[in-house]
Amino acid sequence: MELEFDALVEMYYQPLYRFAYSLSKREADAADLTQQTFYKWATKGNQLKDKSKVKTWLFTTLHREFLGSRRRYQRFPHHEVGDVEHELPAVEPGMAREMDGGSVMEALTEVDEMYRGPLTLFYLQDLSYKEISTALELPIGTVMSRLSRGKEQLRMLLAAKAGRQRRKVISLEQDLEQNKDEHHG
Amino acid sequence: MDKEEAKLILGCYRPNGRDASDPEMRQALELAEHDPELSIWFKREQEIDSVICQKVSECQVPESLKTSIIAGRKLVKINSRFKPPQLLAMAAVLIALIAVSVVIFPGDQNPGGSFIAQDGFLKFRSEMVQFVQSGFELDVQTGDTEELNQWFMQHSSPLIDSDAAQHLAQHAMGCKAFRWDGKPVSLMCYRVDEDQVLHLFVMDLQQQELGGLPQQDTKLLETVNQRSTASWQENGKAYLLVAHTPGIKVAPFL
Repeated sequence: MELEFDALVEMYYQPLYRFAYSLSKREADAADLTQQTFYKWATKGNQLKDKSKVKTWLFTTLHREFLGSRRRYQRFPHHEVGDVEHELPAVEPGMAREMDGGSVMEALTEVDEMYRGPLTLFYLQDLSYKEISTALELPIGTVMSRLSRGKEQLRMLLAAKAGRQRRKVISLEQDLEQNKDEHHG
Repeated sequence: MDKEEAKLILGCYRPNGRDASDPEMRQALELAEHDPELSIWFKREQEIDSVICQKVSECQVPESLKTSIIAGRKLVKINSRFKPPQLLAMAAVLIALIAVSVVIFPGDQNPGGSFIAQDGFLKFRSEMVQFVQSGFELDVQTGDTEELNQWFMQHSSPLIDSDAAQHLAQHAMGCKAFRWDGKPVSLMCYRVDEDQVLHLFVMDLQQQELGGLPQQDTKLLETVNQRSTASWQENGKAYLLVAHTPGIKVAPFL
């Protein structure tokens, strides 16, 4: 039992943490949610008769814990990406490749909450769209449409971030250039 | 399947290729093979998704998290041992002394000449007292009665449904579900004071007759093997409350 638990932690604590982080947006909350999920498994996991569903059970439990904690403590702000949608260029693969993991994760946490769960689970690649539907207790069709809209939002957010980063680099280069001119002048 | 539907399905295709065997996905992939525009769209989609997957997997997980989770489980102490060693040794000596006295003075202990009464409930009571004396493992150690009741339900073990024991719930410390004589028994343990622990055994009476059980609305208070006990029946269940330590009386807690 002890070994089984340790092996389970080894296999899933990272994707669970990343999923928790995308939901809660805070490292400490994500760690708490992950711990709480494994605590539930330790105390109630034996209720699960079909052990092949452990992975889905863990993600479902974490999601429920998140929803429960949010109901208890706070409401997370709603980001209106739609307002700037028309101004944003589409993200290019090369553009995303240049970004660091932290920025991509940050963009993911800014996607509307209703799309964020399916989207993060999709990018973690541990669950199929059918398993995501089970884990989040949503119809398959809803998962599909939320993935589609969520991807759209995320790409716009990434494009906006990439644009801001580029502007910063250009502005820094301009400053350096200006300083050099002044110094020589 | 039309192109728009295929796009919706293909949008769920994980870049690691694990969805290749999904029947709907196969159908959509087949459509993409014969539709250049869809094929280009899917290729580009996969390219972007693949980069994002890579970036998400780079998200740092706190180094100490794994250790904390594993350490946390140890603190939960499921199946934690509940066996005070001195008490166990004392109980063993006591049982040996009583057994010897039964052999020498059988009439003083029981008219039937047997230390363990063979009569239904008395046998149950005697064996549960021995069970307490010999030490046992708790299945779950928590004060959360909801969690403890869930444990009983999972194990098809009877729930505590006694007005007499209701106020003990606030002192709950753990539980165990087991079988006696093939019948499910629930055991709830209460820490009523720093060094005072009580054990409440519950058995469903619908499944069996228990000779020797007190009548309805009667509580039988008796000391068995130096342990104070109280027995009663309520709502179709037999209840047996046993003090963990000699000298502690159960009556004030009922």
